[in-house]
Amino acid sequence: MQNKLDRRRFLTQSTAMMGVSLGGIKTVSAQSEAGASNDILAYGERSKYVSSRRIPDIDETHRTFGRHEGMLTPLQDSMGIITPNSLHFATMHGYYPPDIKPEDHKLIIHGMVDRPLVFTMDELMRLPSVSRIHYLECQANRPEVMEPTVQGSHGKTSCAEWTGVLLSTLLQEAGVKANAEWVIYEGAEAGKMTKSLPMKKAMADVIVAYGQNGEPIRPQNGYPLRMFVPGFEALYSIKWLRRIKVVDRPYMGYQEIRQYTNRAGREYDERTPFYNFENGPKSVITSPSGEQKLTSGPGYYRITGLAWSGGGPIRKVEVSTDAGKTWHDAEIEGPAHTMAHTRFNYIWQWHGEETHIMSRSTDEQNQVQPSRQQFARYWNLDPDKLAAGEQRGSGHHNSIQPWGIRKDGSVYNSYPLV
Amino acid sequence: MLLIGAAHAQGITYNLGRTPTSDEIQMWDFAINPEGMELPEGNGSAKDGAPIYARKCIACHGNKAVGAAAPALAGRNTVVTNWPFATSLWDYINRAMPLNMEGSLSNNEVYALTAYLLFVGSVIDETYMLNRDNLPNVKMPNSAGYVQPPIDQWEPGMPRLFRIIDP
Repeated sequence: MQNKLDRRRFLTQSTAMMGVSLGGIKTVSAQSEAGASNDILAYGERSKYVSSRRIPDIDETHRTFGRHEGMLTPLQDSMGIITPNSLHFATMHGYYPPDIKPEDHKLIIHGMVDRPLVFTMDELMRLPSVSRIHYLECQANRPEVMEPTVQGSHGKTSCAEWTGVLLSTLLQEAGVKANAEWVIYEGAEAGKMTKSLPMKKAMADVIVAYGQNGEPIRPQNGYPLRMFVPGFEALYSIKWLRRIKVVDRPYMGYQEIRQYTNRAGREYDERTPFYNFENGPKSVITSPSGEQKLTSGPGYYRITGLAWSGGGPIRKVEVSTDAGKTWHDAEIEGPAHTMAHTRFNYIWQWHGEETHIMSRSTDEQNQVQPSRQQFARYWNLDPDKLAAGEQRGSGHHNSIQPWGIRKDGSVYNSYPLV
Repeated sequence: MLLIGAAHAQGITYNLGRTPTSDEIQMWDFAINPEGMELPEGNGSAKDGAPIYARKCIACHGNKAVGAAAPALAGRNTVVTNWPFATSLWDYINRAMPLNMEGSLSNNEVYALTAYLLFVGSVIDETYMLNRDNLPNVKMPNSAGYVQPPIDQWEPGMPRLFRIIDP
């Protein structure tokens, strides 16, 4: 005890001394300086030793036509819950971000309203704003046999603080007419993607967003304006937003019909619901994950990962280190925000055995992340075809992702283990 | 519905934004609903569409829309056989085709190309003249294949809306 107090006093005193005689003390940890280029001073660059980067989400048709492919977030390197803007995933449907001058950008609201309105960016920024932390996940994000890394299989989810005007504020200004049960809205890219959204959600918590993690939204994520629909599959969050029309029914535009309807378990001659809304409860271990290695043989390792759900805050994450036989509660790095990535950790003593590690999450509504078998049953799918990637409509897929551990500590994708 | 009623009653608070002109609204208003509400004047048949297809579409989508570098547009598992509404075809050709020349087609050309795809997909005759009145009534092969989930029973915050709905 005495030693501890002495040490604390010593540290306090040395800190105080450094305050008055900067540079006068040479410490053992002194290193050569990183330099002070303009890049570092004006707009901070990361350390030259950090190399985490996005990879393309390969689409053969887009590649053939030289079109923009999506970008996948390097979840294996992630810390905490916020995705840096430079690493946020983007799905572009083949289109490059339009080059929009913010002073030229307009948002028009029309259709079944009392007062059609056109807003400039400046006017939108004068309205009351909110800033909320939410994940954004593409419905196609899922465990896949062919993807060796968590970036390849799960890189279409990210989490940021989104700043903007509540859509309900704009709709109140325009005055929504009775029987207007839907809104449709549209982007300014060459393909002008359109999506339909129920009015109940539009009035609840949807953000017309211009800010992402404290700065203007990045071009790939919708600069200068995007719709942000918390908890819903990412296709609802239309980028480069320029038009909102208040209507009485869903419109079923190209991207809505082509690939995002739920055809799970059904061939086209059977009946297909028009739309899905929330992402299911999900989690994935980000480290150690596929192609990483337990670096120094048997010993303690921190299993860490992300959990999220469209159903609300994550209430519990469990980890199994014995291929799903037993499950243990992981520690959640709180607070667990609603419809946001939630970081979990589990300290594990590895004895050098071959095994599989995996996680499953439970949200506030007690929805539990399913195994592959449970997921298949839930959606009326063939679990083997699902695993082989042969199942049509295998999106909306939130089943458990296992990682195999070899004796030498190397980690590999062991889906479909369970 | 209560929520919407309340919002409606609240009205203007901030008095920001200007009123668009009707011309402005018309210029923007080109998403087509399944009843064809926003369809413009114009018409075209598959016969009219064939030479336009040969000039502007065939290089990517192949002879008779069987597909090439870009997807097939008629035949099994294509837009004609799967999509429940002909209006979605019109909408997408109009807004997003041809690639790199989006928005360059006239209304008549869009009607004609829609008719051409429906003709090679054996949905309509070669001389059938499509227009804003009859396009929404074209019966697509899979028109009974899609259903609306029970949206009236859904509220934000409910568990995931997922089930296949039986008729």
